[in-house]
Amino acid sequence: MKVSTNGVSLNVEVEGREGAPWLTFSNSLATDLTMWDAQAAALKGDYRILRYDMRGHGKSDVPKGPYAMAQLVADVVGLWDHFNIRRTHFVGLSIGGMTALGLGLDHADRLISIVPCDCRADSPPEFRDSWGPRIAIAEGKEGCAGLVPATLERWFSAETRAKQPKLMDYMTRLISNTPVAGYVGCAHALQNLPYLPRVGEIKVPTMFLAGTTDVMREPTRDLHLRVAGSTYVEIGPAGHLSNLDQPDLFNAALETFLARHK
Amino acid sequence: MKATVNGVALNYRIEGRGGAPWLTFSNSLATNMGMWDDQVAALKDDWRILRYDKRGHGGSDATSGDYPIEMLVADVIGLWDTLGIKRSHFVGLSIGGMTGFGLALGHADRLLSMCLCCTRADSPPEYNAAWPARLATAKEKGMAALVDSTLERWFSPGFRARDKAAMRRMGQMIETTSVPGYAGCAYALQNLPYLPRLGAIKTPTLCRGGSNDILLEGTRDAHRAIAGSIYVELGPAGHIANVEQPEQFTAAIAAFLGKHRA
Repeated sequence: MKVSTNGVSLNVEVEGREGAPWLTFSNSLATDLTMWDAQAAALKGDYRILRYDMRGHGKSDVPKGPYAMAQLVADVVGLWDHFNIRRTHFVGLSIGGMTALGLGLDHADRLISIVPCDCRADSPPEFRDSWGPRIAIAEGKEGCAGLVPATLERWFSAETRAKQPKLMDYMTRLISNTPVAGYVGCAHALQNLPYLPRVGEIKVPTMFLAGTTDVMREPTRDLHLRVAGSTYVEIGPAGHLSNLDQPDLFNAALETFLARHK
Repeated sequence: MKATVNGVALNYRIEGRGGAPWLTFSNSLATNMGMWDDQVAALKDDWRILRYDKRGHGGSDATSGDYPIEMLVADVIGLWDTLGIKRSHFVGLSIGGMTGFGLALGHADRLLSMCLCCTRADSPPEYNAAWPARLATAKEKGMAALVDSTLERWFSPGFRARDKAAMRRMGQMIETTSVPGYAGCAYALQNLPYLPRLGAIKTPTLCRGGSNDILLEGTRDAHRAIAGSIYVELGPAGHIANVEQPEQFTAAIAAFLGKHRA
């Protein structure tokens, strides 16, 4: 289903039990809403689930970039308004997790809880600079397909890459199919993450979740220490896409946290 | 119930569903089987549960002298032999986890899986340095004198302030531990032999860490050393992570056990 909001047409899937509390999922860079298939399957008996493809990703429109975090946050609020969702849990990974932080800071009244996974809230120089070469590859003649080898290496351990060829095929397809303008637009948002100075103001129930070998593990732990009352769960072996690496442990932690904050 | 095995009368309790796979819980230093109340309540419908008070703890007898860790391992084997338990899952925290290393290295044929929490496999000088002062206090002033400093080490500040009932319960466990039992186990803690051999462990293993536990790094090291092991860390959680985060703790164990049922 397509929903037009905030000047963009977003691809959306709604499933799960009618009348149950809402649970919104937000995908990471160069993936789409299917990254949450295992979570949606496990939770749809207890929650009303909204998933969407982030702007510039999957089947959503690809407006010209750069995108700002505030825009990605407004997209979500627009979707909630469209579906008359007054309050929802929100789970996001990487740029989806950063979106969770923005929502937690600026739209707390719409949230029951947030679960930011494998993410960070600032863009220090070494992180910001790492995106330049990736943007150049994406804008080159191979497009996002040119990003596949280095991205899989960054996201998954050597063991997972060797042992899970199906998962690697799936990820290769997702990365390759990501529209260049969508990737670059979101990369700009990643280069300008504004939330670190304010994360201490987050008051909604929050669980941070990270993979043991994820490059964003340390920043995610650090966010947990800054958000008073937050919970931290780390699972492994798992890289950046911890929900795909360890679906059972991820779901166990998520179900437990959500049930506590119904 | 009491059973005399390996030269000591051990206090134990059997609960749960008859005919289900066995699940054995092993307590930490200066606690007793009561530390597992939340886990047993949550898991007893699916498992046949054996809990026991470690030698020198709770209702078990305190033998005099040093308790080498292999003696504590032999206590478990003795209990399993007496009760006709051929194979069991094993959950141990701190010295209970260290007991798990010994079981996996010397008695792997008796284990279905193990979950080792807030633990370590070696005794470097900086770790051992803390024990003489604690032992002196226990011998001169009794266990009551160790309650405050131990609770401080075991739980995060927020939890200590919030859950006074848990502090009373855990404080009572410390206070009622026998001095010879505490000192006997402290010998085991200062002479842990397993780190060089962890790579030989083949038993399915879940390593559990508490984000503010002093043994966090030891637990992570064990995860890295045991090929194929799974890792879950919880925060905020100090040393007794199952008491501070009972729901998340149980959820991860249940997810792990479900994969290795029998």
